[in-house]
Amino acid sequence: MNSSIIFRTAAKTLLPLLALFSVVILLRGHNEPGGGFVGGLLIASAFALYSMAFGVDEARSMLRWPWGGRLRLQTLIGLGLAAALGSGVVGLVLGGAPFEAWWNGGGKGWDLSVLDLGVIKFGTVLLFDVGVYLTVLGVVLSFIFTLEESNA
Amino acid sequence: MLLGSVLILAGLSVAAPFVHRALGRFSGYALAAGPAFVFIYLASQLGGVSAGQAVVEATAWVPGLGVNLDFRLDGLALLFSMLISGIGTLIVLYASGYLQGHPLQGRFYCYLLAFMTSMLGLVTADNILLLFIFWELTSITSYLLIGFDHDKPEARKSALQALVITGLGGLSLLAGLILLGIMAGTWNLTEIIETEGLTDHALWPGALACLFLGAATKSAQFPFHFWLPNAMAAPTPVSAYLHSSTMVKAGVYLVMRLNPAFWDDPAWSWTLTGFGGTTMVVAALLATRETQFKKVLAYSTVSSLGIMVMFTGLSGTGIGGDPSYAEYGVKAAVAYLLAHALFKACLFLVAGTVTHETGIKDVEKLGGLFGSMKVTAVCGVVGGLSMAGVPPLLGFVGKEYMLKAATHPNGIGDSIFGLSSAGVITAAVFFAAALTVMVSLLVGWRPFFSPKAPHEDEVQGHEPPRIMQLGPVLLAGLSIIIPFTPFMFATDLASAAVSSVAGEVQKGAEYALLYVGGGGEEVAHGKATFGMGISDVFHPFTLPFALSILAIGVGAVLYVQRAAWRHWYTKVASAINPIGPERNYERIFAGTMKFADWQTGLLQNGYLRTYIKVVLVATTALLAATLWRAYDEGHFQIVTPESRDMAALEMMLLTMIGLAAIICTQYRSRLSTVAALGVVGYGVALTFVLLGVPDIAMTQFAIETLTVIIFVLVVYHLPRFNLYTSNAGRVFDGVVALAFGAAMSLLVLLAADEEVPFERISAWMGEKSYTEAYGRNVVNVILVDFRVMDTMGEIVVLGLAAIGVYTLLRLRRGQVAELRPVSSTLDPRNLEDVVGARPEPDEPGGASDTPEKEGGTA
Repeated sequence: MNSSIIFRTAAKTLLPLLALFSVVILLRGHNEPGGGFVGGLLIASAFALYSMAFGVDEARSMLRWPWGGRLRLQTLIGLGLAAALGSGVVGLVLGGAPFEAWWNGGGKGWDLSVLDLGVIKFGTVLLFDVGVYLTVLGVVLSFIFTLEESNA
Repeated sequence: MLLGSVLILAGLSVAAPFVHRALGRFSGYALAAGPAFVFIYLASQLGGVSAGQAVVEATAWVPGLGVNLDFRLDGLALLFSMLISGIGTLIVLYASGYLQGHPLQGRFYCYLLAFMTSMLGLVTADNILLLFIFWELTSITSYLLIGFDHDKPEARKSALQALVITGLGGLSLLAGLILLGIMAGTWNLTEIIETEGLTDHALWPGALACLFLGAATKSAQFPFHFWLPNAMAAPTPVSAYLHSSTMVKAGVYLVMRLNPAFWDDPAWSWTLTGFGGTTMVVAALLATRETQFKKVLAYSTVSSLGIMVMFTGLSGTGIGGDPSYAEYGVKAAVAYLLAHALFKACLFLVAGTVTHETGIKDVEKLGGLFGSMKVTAVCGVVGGLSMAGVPPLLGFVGKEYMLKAATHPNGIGDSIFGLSSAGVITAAVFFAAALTVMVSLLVGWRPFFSPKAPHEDEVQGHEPPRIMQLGPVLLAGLSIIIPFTPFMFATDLASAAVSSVAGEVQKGAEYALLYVGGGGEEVAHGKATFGMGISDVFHPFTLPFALSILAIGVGAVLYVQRAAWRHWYTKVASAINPIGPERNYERIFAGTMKFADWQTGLLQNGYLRTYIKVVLVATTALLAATLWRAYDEGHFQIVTPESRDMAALEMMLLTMIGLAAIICTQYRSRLSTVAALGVVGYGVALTFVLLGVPDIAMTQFAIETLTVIIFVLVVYHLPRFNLYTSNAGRVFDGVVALAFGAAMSLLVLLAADEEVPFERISAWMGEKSYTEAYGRNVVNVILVDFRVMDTMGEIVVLGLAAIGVYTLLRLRRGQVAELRPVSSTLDPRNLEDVVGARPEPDEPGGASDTPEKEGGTA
C-alpha cells in the first residue's frame, strides 16, 4: 500500500478513537441518540479507513479475539445474530413471549453510571443492540474487504 | 400425553441418526420402542374412548391467533393413530432388515419417524390450523421419503410430483379451513363440527370446493390419482407405510372427520360419492394393466381410497335416502379402512420381501416361490384373499358392508342420469370388486403358486431375516383373527370410529346398534359390532353376499384370461392416455416452467437497473392506488403546508441537493456521479440535523460515507461508461423517477395531515418508551424493543447479503473449485447463472452488472 504517511498516521490514530466512540454510541443509544446500528457503522468505517491505509490483510489482523486468535468476519456476523436471537430466547425461557424484554431489576435495578457520560442499563435489549452492532460491523466489513481484495 | 406422544416421536426422529450410529444394526429395535410405546398408550385409552369419553388436551401456543396445541382423541382419531403407531412399529422393524447396511439408514429412520410424528399430530389435532401444520409436514416428510434414493432421477421426479400435487392441495385446504373457521367463528375442530347450520352459510360452496380439493390431492382421488403410483419410487417400507396405511388416508381422515358437520348436505354427499366412485372404478381398471408388483398394489390402493371416500359420502342423508340406512356407508368406510390398512401393508411388505430376495419386480416373471419362502407366501396369500374379499377374512367384512350400503333400496334416493342411483352404485362397486379380485390373485397367488415362468431363469427365493417376517405375519394374522373375535379390541375400535364419523341422526340408539348377523341385520342391545361370528360366515342367501361371491368368480375368470383382457385394455388405454390427467399435469408443469422463465427474464434478468425499475414502478403503482382510494373515500385531504419563510440555511441546502441531483443525471463519469450522489445524501442528512433528528442524521452520515466507499470500490469492476439506453428508455426512466418522487412527496404531505382517521402511533410510542421500555431514545426503543422482530429480520437479511456478496466475488475470482465438493448436484449451468458469468449480448462487460447488494441498505 503506497498511501501517504499522513493518511496512515491518521488512520492509525483514528481507529482506537472511533472504536471507543462507537462503543459509547452503542451504549448510550438507549437514552440519547445512538444505538447498535450507528455504532456498528461507525466502527466499520474506522476499519475501512484502516484497510485503505494499510491494506486488507493488516486490517483483518486487527480483528482479534481477546485471547489473540484471529476473529473472522463470518464469526462476527454469526456472533451478532446469535446474540440478537439469544436475547429473544431469554424472554421465552423466562415465561414470556419471544423478545419480551427482560431487565435487571425491572429497569430500576443496579445501573452502571459511567462518569458523567450516562447510565448503562443491563438487560436483553442491550444484548440485542450488541448483536446488531456486531452484525453490522461484520457485514459492512465483509462487503468492503471482499471488494478491496477483488480489486487487488 | 397426546402432545407427549407427538413430542416423543419427534425427539426420536431427531435422535435417530445418532442412535443408528451408536447401535448399528440393532438401532431398529431401539427406535421401534417409541412408536410401540405410543401404541400401547393409545390402546390403554380404548376403554374410555369407546365409552364416548374422548381424551382432550389443550395447550396454549399462539393464543392471540387462536392457534393452540389442542389434541383430541376420539374413536376416529384412535383408530387412525393406532394404525399409525402400530403399523409404524412394524415398519421400523422391517426397515431395519430391508435397508440393513444402507449407508443412509439412520437418515431413513429420521425421515420415517418425522413422518410418523406429523401423521400422529394430524389425526389427533383438534385445532384446524394445527391440523394444517401437521398436514403440510406430512407432505414435506413424504417428499423426503419418496426421494430417498435421491441419486435416481425418477425418484426425484416422483418426489417433486407428489410434493407439487399435495402441496397444491395443502394450499387449497388452508383456504378451506380458513373459510370454515370464519363460518364457524372458531378454530377448534370439535366446536366447528358442532356448529349448527354451516351448510347454509354463504361461504359453504367455496369451503367445500377447497376442502375437497385438499383431501382429494392427498388421498389421490381422480383426477389426482397418478402421483401415488409414481411415488412407488420410494423404498418399499415407505410405500407400505405412507402409501397404503397412513399418509394417503389423511384425505380420507379429513372427510370422515368433517362428515358429522356436513352429512345432511347433498353437495357434500354427492361430491364424495361422485369423485370417490370414479376413483374406485378408474383406479381398479388401471391396476389391471400393471405387472410391476408395487405399481399393481399402488393402483389398487387408489381404488380403495376411492371406496372409503365414496362410502363416507353415501352415509349422508344429503344423498336423499332414508337416514336409518345411511349408517351402512360409515360402517363400510370404517370397516374397509381397517381391513385395507392391514391387508395392504401386509401385501406391500410381502412385495418388498419378494423383490428384496429375488431381485425381480415383475409379478408375471415370478412363480413357484412357495417352496422356498413358505412364511412369506402364506402371508401373501392371506393378504391377497383378504383384499379379494374372500370369506371369512376381514376384507370380506368390509366388502359386505359396502355392498349392503350400495344395494339397500332405501339407502340411496336420487337417480343418476335417469338410472336408479342404487343400481349405478351397486354396479360400480361390483365391477371394482371383481377387478380387485383379479388383481389380488395376481399379487397374492401368482408369485407363489403359479408354475415357474418358462422363459425366465430359475427364480431363487429364500426366506428373509426373521425381523422382516414379523410385520407380514402379524398383519396377515390380524386379517384372519379380527372377524372371529367380535368381542375384542378391533370391534370396539371400529365402533368408536363409526360413532365419530356418523352424522347426528345416525348416532340415535337403534341405528347404531345394528349387528350384522346370520340373517342380515338384527337389532341387538349392545355395542355396534363389526365382528362376524363363525356361523355368520355361512350366510343364508342375501343379495350382498351373492354379489360378493359372484365378484370373486368373475375376478377369478378375469385373472385366468388376463392376457386377453390386457390386449383389449391396451388398445383402449392408448387412445385415452394422451388426454389423461397425468399428461395434463405434465403440460401444466411444463407451461408453468415456461411462464417462470419468461417472467424471470422480464423482472429478474440480473440487471440491477431492472430490479430498481421494477421495485419503483410497483411501489408507485400500489401507493398511488391506495392513496387514490383513500382520498376518493374522503379519508383525508391533501393539506397545503402553511407557507413560511425559509431560513437561509434551508434554502442553501435545498439548492445544493437539487443541483447535485441534476448533476447526477448529467455526468458522464461514474466517479463524479458517485460524488454527486454523496452530496445529495449529505444534504439530506444535514436537513435531518436542522429538523432536530440527530439519530437519523447520524445514521445517514455513516451510511452515505460507507456507500460512497463501496461505490468507489465497485467502480473498478464496471465497464467503460457508455450510453446503451434509447431515448425513449431514458424518458421512461425519467417518468418513473418523477412519479416515484411525486408519490413519496404526496405521502409526506398526507402524513402531515392532522385529521387522519386513525390514531397516530407516534404519540403512543413516545409515551410508552420510557414507562414500559425504560428508554428515552424513542427511535432506538422502536428498533430494539417495540419492533424488535423487524430488526431481527433485517439483520438476518444483512448477514445473508454479506454471504451473497462474498460468494459472488469469490466465485468471480475463479475460486469455484472450493465450493464444488459440497454441491455435487449443482448444475454447472446454474452455477454460471449464480456467478453471473454468462455473456450479455447487449453490453460488453455485462457480467459486472450482476445483482450486488449495496452496503447499508438496511
